[in-house]
Amino acid sequence: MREEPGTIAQNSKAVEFSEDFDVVVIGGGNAALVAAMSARHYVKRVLVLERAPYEVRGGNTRHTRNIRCIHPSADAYNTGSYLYDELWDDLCRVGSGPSDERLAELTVCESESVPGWMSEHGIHWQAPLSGTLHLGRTNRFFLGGGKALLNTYYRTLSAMSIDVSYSSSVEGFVDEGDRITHLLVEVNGKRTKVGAKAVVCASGGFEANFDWLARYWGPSAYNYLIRGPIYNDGTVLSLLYDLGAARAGQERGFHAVAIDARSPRFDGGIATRIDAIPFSVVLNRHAERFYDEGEDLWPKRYAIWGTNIALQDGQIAYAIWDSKVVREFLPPMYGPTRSATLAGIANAVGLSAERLERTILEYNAAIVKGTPFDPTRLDGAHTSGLEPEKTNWALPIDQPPYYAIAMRPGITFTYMGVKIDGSARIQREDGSHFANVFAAGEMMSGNVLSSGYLAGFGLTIGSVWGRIAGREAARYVSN
Amino acid sequence: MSATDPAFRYRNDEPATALFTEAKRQLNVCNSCRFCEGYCAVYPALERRVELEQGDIIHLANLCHDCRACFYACMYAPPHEFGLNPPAILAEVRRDTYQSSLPLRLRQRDSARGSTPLRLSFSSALCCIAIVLTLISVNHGLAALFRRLDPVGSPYAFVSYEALIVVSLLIFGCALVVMTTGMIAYWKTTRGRMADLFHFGPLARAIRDGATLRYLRGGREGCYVKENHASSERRILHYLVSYGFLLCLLATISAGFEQDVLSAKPPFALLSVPVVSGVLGGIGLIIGSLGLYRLKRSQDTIATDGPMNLMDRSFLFALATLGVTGIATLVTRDSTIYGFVLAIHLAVVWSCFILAPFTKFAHFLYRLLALVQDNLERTEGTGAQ
Repeated sequence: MREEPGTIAQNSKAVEFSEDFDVVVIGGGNAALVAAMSARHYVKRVLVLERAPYEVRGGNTRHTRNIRCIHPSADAYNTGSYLYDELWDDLCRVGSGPSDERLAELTVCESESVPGWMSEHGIHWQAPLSGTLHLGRTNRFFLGGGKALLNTYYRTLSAMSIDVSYSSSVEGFVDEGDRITHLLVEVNGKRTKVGAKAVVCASGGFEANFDWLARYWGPSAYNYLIRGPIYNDGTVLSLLYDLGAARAGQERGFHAVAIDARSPRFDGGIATRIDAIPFSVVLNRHAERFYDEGEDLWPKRYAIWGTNIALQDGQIAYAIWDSKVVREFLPPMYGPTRSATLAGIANAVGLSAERLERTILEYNAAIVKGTPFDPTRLDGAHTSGLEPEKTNWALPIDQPPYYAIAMRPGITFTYMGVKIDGSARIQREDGSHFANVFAAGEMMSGNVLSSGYLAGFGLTIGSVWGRIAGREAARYVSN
Repeated sequence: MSATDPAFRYRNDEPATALFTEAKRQLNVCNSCRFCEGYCAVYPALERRVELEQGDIIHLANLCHDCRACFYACMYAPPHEFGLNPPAILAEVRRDTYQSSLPLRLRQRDSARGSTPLRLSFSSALCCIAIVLTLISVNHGLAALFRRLDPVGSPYAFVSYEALIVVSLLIFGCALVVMTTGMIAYWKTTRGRMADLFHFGPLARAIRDGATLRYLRGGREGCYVKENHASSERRILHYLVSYGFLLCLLATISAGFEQDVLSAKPPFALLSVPVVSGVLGGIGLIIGSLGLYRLKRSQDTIATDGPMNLMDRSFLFALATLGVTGIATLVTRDSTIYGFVLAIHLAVVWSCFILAPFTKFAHFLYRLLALVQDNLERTEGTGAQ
């Protein structure tokens, strides 16, 4: 393709590409926008290159809803205090814990000033309500969720005279020693060369790239569903690796939950998740149970079920429940399969009726009687003699109609990214670092966590490191 | 796809059952997401419900004040394949509510295109003009329309007091009966027990929510006209219209009081209660309704139901006409065209009352009922079903 410098008109506003920008930010989600605003406080010409078209701008941020930051006391939007030590403990209990302790500590410290910074840049908050109550102390909810936050930030960008170019995909870098001097950008099919004094990469992970996932997960990766947009295919991450960037985070590190098997392949977001598991039995395609459905309270366990299902044959599993528990969780968006008999359920979802009935009868028979069911706490209503046992909320499945839903792993994001230092500068394999290339958001989240997940912490990483990356990029340009 | 793609518009040719099926599909996605719960009363009310019945959907639709914050915050809005558009689908359900007092045959015939109210307006306006002209010509012949009659500036110079009262009360009474029937039917569908309507606390809080236009604050930024454009303009204009309308009512009632109780015959002095409240109310009505009309015209069409939008604009046009003709009767009361202006104003007032039960005029009643239901549920802490 021919490289055309100059102006490309889109969304009725033209971005002038011919002159060098001080800071070019790659990406259009929270980390990218925070980096752009942060840089703009110090330098004049800042450009945001968003790969998605205007209508679906914002990457995974579209599906976010709250942010986890430390705060010394309760206020209108948090129900109580959440101090450094507690967040640090929470981080340590997630997956394999913090990857780079120094960077993780910095993230936690810096999180304290993030909500104030967000308010200054236009964000509105809401008090925790019924759907959000259990996170009301630790997490702060922005009004209307991620897309509302994005709309606000994009308006602020416009007020700060930051250029935004949509449908703009970075296809290559021109480097010179330890610096990137130009970006090769494809805008609506036309390739153009954009000069940059510093670059912030905040364009997410590679979860939407099935071939890349399959390198670590084998062909089963093609059965995964991706909860965010189709654009997170790791193009920029792979370009950085080509330039010698060092890796951070585990290859198989991702956040994945159980979602409805009928969900769209991309971008189903929050609405397709399945919350029935603690009150169900979950069978694989051989109609066998494979994991303790009642291991812990759902908010503490929902994030392991994506991987649980990913490890089953065909990457599919079936939650089965009966009419006793239908009011204990949100009905799935598409509605469950319903039948008067267990055989009817088996036929409807395509499992062996004989095996399913046997599994359910064995499960019913193994329930230790006498412990009252209590959905609000670990009630200890359990089975005995099964492999695996169900350790809480074990109620017999015997009251028709019966319900079932097929589930698949829904991948939220990947952790493997680029290694950075405390100023968000990207490190290289040979131990040196890039002088003018910085990273923020999911692309560097592997420096902080490498597996597991803590609700609302992705946005904390994006905001803290977006702010640092933008500031440091601008500082580099100013010097 | 762009925001003006006709594929985004709702399928208005389908019968009501399809409308409710689609509304239920969309609201089920909303109930699985819940990101919008901080915006207004609709989403917390949705969260109190697990399985949506038709009555629930009607309640949620009438609780919606159309601020449209949810639409612009929705990651599932078009072009997403979930295609969510709560403001549009709920507006379509509200249109169904407003027209539910119409005879079924009339309603089905044109409701798809939203032209029933237009046809009705046209025919009722013609009727009212005919009645006024008949009443005037009985006494003085049609030529009186352009003559000064004694007492100058008094409507009774043209139409006898008795005739005016009888026709007005007849029309007003019919409207009242139809509206009450509509409200009872609505309450039975959405709530059930009539007695629930009369709990003092929830009722008082509902009136407060309505009188302050609480939910026109939207997500704190006000109502959205377009993407990235929210303001309190709509709420302020709506205050002008509602309180302007109430002042006009006060003008009418106080005029009746002055003449029947105090035996003061019109025309009233410029500094009398009927004239001052009528003038202030009329001006509020005109500015408010024309301002809202302009907003309706400039708003994105994607988050609206086309026929409902037409109904809204017809309503605003009618309100502005009420205000303009009312003020005109005052301004022209000493001139030779007073009879003509008075005839038009009377025809407009009567027309509006004839149309009220079937059109946007009735919206405040259904919204009030929805707010009562909402406050009842908040008190109970659980859903209706």
